[in-house]
Amino acid sequence: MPDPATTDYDETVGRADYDDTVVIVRVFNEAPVVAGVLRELLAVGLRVIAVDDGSTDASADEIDAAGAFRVSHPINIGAGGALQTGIEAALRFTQAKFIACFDADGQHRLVDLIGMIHTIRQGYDVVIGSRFLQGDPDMGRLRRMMLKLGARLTRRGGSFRLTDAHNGLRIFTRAVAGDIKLNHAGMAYASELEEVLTRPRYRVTEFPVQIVYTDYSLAKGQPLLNSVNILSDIVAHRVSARRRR
Amino acid sequence: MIIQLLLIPAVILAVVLSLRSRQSLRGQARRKIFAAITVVAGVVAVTFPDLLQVIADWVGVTRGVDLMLYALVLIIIYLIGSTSVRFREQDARLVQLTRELALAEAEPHRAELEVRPVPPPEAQAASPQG
Repeated sequence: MPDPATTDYDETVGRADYDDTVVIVRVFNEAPVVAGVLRELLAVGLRVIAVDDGSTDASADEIDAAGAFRVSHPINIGAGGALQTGIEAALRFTQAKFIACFDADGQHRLVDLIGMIHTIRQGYDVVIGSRFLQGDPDMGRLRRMMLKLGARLTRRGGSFRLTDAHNGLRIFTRAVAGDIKLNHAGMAYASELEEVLTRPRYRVTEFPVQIVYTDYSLAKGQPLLNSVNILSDIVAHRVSARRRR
Repeated sequence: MIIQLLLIPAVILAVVLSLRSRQSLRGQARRKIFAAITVVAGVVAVTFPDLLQVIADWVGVTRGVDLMLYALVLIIIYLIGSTSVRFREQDARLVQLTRELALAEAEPHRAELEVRPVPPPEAQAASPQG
């Protein structure tokens, strides 16, 4: 696997001080790659909270070997549940000003995260990665259509208009993190999260990112058919959210 | 047909009520009343078998058995809805429990999070304050 930290280094990835940021990495059965990803983050001085979501492989050992702070769920509760745990750990255990989300499977690039940290420091509340801001992403036409449709479905009046849906690379301030209460433990959390992150009162911006589609992440990644699950979850969530009001 | 006027709202009501059935006191009371009615209705239906047919004729259903089938379908719809809601509530509690457990277990190690990891040698050379 190419190592973005060394192959893609430019001056934005200096050895600057990243004390103000803590990175949440959700881990579910990612033993072959997770240590590499975590080491890369730790090497530039980022603090990392790895949420092991009840992995049944050697993920926990790999996290410890990499030297990241590990929070382990005794059972698997899903992506959204793990992210919420990470956020709560960040709020409880650190004084970090910014909280970032980074994928454990190596599909995110450190340079993008660093760029997003520099962007949020300029006074934003939320910075979300987008694959569609710059050039044409290398993906199937159907996948692109589903993502665009997802982005459009989650748009609502007054909120920031995202160009990408379900981009896992995000960073937000501590205050925003305190507002995040994910009800969806599964994959549909992403829509719920985006709904919170794009609230009109936040200063939101997007940041062009590239996704590294390695053989590993492609093999593990979400099959296109799963977007049906996600879309129906979004609809179900809309209905139940309306009922709660 | 009276039965159509009865069944259509009944189906909608069954779905709505089932999805709303949380652990409110009102919901619990409603279920108990429902259980009591079921017992009474069962006893009455067994004691006076013709009564079901009378009611069926009155609402425009051919047979009393069909009427009971309709009632059964409604109850099943309600059950499926309320069970799924209860499962979801249970799931949410399980998620919370798991999270608290994980955080409680991680808490003693929180100092690790404050310690800055040692950067690689070339980086240390670049920034003397480390």
